Amino acid sequence: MTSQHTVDVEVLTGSGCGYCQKAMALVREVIDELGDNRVHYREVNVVDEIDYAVQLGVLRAPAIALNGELVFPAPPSKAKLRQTILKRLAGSP
Amino acid sequence: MMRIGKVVETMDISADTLRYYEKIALVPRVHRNNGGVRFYSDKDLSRLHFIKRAQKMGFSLKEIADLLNFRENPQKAKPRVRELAHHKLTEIEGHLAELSTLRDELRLLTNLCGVNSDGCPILESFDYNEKDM
Repeated sequence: MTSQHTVDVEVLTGSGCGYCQKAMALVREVIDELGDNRVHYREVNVVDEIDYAVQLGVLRAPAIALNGELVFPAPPSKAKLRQTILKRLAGSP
Repeated sequence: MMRIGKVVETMDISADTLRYYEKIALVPRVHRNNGGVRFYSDKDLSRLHFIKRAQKMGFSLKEIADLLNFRENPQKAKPRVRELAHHKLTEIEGHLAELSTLRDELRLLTNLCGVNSDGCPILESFDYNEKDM
């Protein structure tokens, strides 16, 4: 049985930030590989949404938030990101 | 004890202002030497530091006088003074929260500015806010 847990993955980026492009590509790749429609992807430009970025506690870009929580202040490895998303889908915090 | 000239120098308060504070009893009568030169005790200096801090926060001299009374004798402070102190405390906590948010925003923008190859997001942010107005 599939659990009802969803995961909103947000990549916090800044324009002109080279690492941000790599982080976005990494996240999109992991999500594509998972192929699970319970995982939602969003890119957040920290300048456009600075109140939200500050509320999350973002200090630099790129960073990754899961379900509105800053989980990766810096991009993790692909394996780590995949593992963390899978845990969240299974209901682990 | 610190001579008035030294107080002026170290606290960046003019001699006229120091004399005025004494005249309106914001500071109790200060010790003088035989030549009439004012000397400030540690307690006087502590009051002056408090006055300066309170002024920076935008308190009026009247409010500062009330707050000084409260500071001197918090147990016996009148309800009105206690209420003023409480009100100011709430205001300060509000300022701190706003300052804390502003600090975090600037920290984030400064970090972005350091790694950005195209320009500086701090300027982008200002442009964005202007468009909002």
